[in-house]
Amino acid sequence: MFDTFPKAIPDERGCGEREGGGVYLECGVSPYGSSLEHFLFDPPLPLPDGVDLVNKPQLWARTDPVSGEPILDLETNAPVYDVLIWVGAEHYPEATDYIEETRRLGASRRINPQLDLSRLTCRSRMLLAHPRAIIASWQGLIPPQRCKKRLPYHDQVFYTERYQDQLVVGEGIDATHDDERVGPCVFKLWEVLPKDEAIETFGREGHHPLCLRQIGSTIYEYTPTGEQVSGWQPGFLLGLPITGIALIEYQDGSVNTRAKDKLLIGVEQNGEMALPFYQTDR
Amino acid sequence: MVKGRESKADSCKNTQKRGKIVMPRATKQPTLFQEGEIAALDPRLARLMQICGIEHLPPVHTRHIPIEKIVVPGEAQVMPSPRFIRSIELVGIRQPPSVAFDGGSAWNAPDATYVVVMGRRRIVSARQLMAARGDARFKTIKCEVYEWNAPRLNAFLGLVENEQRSQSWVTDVVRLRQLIREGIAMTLDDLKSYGFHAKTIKGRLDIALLPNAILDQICAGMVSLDVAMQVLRLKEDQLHRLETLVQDGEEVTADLVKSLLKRQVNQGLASVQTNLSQMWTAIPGTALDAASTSLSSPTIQVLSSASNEPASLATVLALLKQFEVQTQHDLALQRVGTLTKVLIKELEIALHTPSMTKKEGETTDV
Repeated sequence: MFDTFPKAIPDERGCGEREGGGVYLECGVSPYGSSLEHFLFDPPLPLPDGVDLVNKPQLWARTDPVSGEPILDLETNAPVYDVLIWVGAEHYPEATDYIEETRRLGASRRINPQLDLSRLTCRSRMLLAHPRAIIASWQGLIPPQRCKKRLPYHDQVFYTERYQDQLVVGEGIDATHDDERVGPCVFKLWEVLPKDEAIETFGREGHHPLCLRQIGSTIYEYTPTGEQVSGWQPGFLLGLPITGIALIEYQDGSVNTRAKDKLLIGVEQNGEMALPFYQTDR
Repeated sequence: MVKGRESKADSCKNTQKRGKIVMPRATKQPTLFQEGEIAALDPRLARLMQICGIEHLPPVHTRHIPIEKIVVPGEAQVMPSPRFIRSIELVGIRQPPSVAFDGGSAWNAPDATYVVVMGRRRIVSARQLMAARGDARFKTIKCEVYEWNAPRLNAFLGLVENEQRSQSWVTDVVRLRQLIREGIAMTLDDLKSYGFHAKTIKGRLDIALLPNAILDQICAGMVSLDVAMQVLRLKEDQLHRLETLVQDGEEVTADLVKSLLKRQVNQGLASVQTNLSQMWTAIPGTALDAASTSLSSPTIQVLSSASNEPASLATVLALLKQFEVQTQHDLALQRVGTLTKVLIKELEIALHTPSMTKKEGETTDV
């Protein structure tokens, strides 16, 4: 029914394996795709008051921030719906665990099949929130070594470049309490990961140790500074495109028919903007 | 409506045999209903009694019963919470449990035993306090005693009691409102120590602190608990808006609260929307094809097509992969092997990460 489209890699994840009958929103990986950093909110964005996402993914009509009116899709003339999704700390203790897994395997999030999936189109995004997305006490921490989005006033690299002419060779700059500093930079999250949770630690003379951390089948590196975070806030970390929907088969090869029917309705009403879906056993 | 107390019924003889419900014929007894009420019995109650297999409701008396004479069905499964026991220990049993005559020569004979109809947790708590602390207050328990046992009716009454309990949140709010108005200084910790469930009582207290116009409707029973809890999610602006609407005669409905919550969340999501729109315009190319809006793949299969990448990087990657296989067979290289795997992944990502066009048109490598 659909041309080939990017899919998530069905490898072991922090949240375990996909379950039969489940409906999963995917952001697939492709050699032609954009880097994950592109989809990161930097700084992460606080959750609005009154929104309760824990175990409750929600469809949300995208609205114009200025007028407050729903944003209409130019192709379908229907409101664009995004999906707000909570990534729990039970399976991903740190926000970086989810980010790094997504970088390697793409995103795959289970959603309630009762949601009106026909409203989702290629313009829809999944907005992913994590309980430890925002370092509340960031102003007391040194800026991250490098902001991979290269945003001004975010990282040490920026400050070093900016004040280059005022620094003696080999001298560093402490911008911790700079009034103009913007944050919390999302890339600080890697530096505050606990060293004692590393699966391997490699000491480096004159530098912070290089540590490896594992979540599911994903192993990633980080260099902890040893700084302590005294307060966290939940927030949105990622705004990912939805490249398709995976319907996981039961043992008898069938899938959640209600969800499939909704998706077929979506195909009919959204035409070329409809989200592709596929059936798979894992 | 419970009527009748220990009086004339004291002289009644038990006519019930164990295991079989036999209706006593005595007429002048205190009963669950007055005679007039029974005469004008609601057909639904008549139907209930028919289902329960009884002709009339058992007479009821208030008595002090030795605790060892009271049987709690499935006692091993009855587990009152520590806070419930704490509450019983603090204030005693303020509401008499209901028990039904279960065995012995007569319902009021010294050898009579009783089965609990309502108040299993109260009896079990009292028994535990007796056993653990020898608390003499619980040697006898003031009970409402049914002259005979009707198990089906007991089950029904238990259900009613639980249902009533779930509906009592409005009463809780009314009482808390009264305490607040009277300026009673009590903290949440106080309430917790008196046996209240911290989360539940905090919810009730938060409701009792809502603006008067909204609270009036809640106390009048016009608002469901679900909706009241949703109201608590409203922040100052939207709560004030709701208050104004209610003062203008609107009812606090689920739809109204939902619309205000939606407005509140939309306002909160404004920054997300702004960021999203910036992200969208920053994606290279404007076409909305699935591949360009996906994540960059770290897979190695496309390595061969990456001919424009520096050859040395691809060579390093190939070499690392070869070396990683080697490390799998050498225990001494285990740590190096793990590091090599990570390095391979990072190189794969680096090889297939396209340059990103920033909003200002500046090109940067990521």
